[in-house]
Amino acid sequence: MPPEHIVHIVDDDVAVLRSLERLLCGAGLTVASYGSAEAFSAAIPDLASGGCLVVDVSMPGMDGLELQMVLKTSGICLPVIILTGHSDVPMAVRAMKAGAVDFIEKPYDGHRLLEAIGEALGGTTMATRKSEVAVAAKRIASLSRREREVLDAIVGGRQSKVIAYDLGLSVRTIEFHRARMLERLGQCTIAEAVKLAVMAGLSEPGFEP
Amino acid sequence: MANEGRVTHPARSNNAMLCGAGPWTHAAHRTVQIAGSRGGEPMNAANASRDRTAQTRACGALRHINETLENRLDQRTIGSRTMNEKRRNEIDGRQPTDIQLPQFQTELFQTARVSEAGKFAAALTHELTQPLAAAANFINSARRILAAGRTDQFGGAIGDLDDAALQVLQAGRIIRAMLGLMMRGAAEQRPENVSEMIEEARSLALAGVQDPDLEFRIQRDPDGAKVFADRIQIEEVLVNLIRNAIEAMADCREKRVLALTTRMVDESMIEIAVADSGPGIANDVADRIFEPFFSTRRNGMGLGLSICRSIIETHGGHIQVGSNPGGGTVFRFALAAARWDETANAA
Repeated sequence: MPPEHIVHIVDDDVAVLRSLERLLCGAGLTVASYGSAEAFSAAIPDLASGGCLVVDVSMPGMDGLELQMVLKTSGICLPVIILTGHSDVPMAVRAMKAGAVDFIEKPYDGHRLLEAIGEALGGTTMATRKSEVAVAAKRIASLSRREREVLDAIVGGRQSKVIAYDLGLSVRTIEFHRARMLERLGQCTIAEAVKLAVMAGLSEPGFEP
Repeated sequence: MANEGRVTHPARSNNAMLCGAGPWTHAAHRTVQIAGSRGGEPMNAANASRDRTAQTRACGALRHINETLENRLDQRTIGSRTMNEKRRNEIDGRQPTDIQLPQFQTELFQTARVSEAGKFAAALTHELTQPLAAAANFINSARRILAAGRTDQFGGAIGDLDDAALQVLQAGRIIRAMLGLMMRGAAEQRPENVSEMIEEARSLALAGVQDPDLEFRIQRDPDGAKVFADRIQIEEVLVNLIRNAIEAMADCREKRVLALTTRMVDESMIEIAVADSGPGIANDVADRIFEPFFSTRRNGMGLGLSICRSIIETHGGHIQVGSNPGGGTVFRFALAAARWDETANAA
């Protein structure tokens, strides 16, 4: 198996790590797994270029974002897929802005992860990234002002009741806007909506990928 | 056969056996009768034996995972307690002088509780997400093998499903552990082993404490004795007392000794004493030390010992402070002993 197809996975949870190995190996991928960001960064000098990295964003010690920075400073160009828990949306946003190619919320659908890895290994070029960003920006632009406000608040990691309080509306109204927003974005899940918002955010001026 | 009959009266047994294919260190045997399609007469009987070596090994692994989890939960509890302490200290700095103490105290407890609950929820979400994510991965792995009909890998698929089941059970365990931590409001007293509580409190209180000169002595008399107690609350008291003792000895040049002693006061009461070898406390301080908001520490909130007192009093006991004969301070409290026959009835 050529090194460009190695999937490096970093997760501090032994069961998650082993289950990922099973899933990815079963899908015919070559996997190298690491129990901590430190273990992975120690292996960086020996890495052949190519492949991709799947990393849990929240880990004790060095977290996924810090690992991303280490990769950047070591000059290793490895597409990074971030795995996040539910409450880590702001972290995921930061990871995307720092150049992660994708982020996936745990627990996730196996197809979605394999798809993301496939895209990462296939090399998401700047051209495809640009067109993705353009599509996302267009879809986000179709939202009403309220729907956009609700989505931005969700991206900021706020819950419906907090959003309701901030906007001076009832929780029911927020839930309504939230449902309309998801519908308008194409019946997507919250995770997909957040991803669209993040991608659209990348189109804004002042951002360098 | 499944269409024709229904399986009744399973008889199971587990034991170690040796089999042709290799040693089965653990095996499960199951005898079933297969009833005819109209019920009544048994149509056939079958005997199945299954290698449970892998399962037994997996159970061991699960136990290990659980223990790790418990440690992690403990550490998180400590983490949120420390944060809470910080918060209390901040509030202390702004405490208006004319405020009604009882009202302030209630509000304070609520603030502390809410912030703890929020942090706890985030930690819990993470802890629950992990096993569920792992279970989903294992199931997906098995699904791919089955869907592709790769018969040579069916063993692996079964292993994946076993692992998935273990992870789901793990999630259930986390939920139960969480309930145990959240429900500490209502004191639920049951017979609890004194030595175990002391051991757990000690590891909680000493987490993060690195002091090679600290000597920890535990004297248990009688060993294995039980008291009626809400385990979590009494452990909270012990953690508080141990931490106080360590702080009291912070400036000690000589050897720092923390002694935890249990003894039978009489047939019905067991006393637990936490003694330090610090500078001791003055009499006027000792008189007020359990009062809420009384603290000798510059940034102390003065709530730790009053919480201890209220917990011990809801247990029908009382807590007192005195001088340690060898120098230093000793805190003592007594709890109702759970005698063996009562323990058996309550269990």
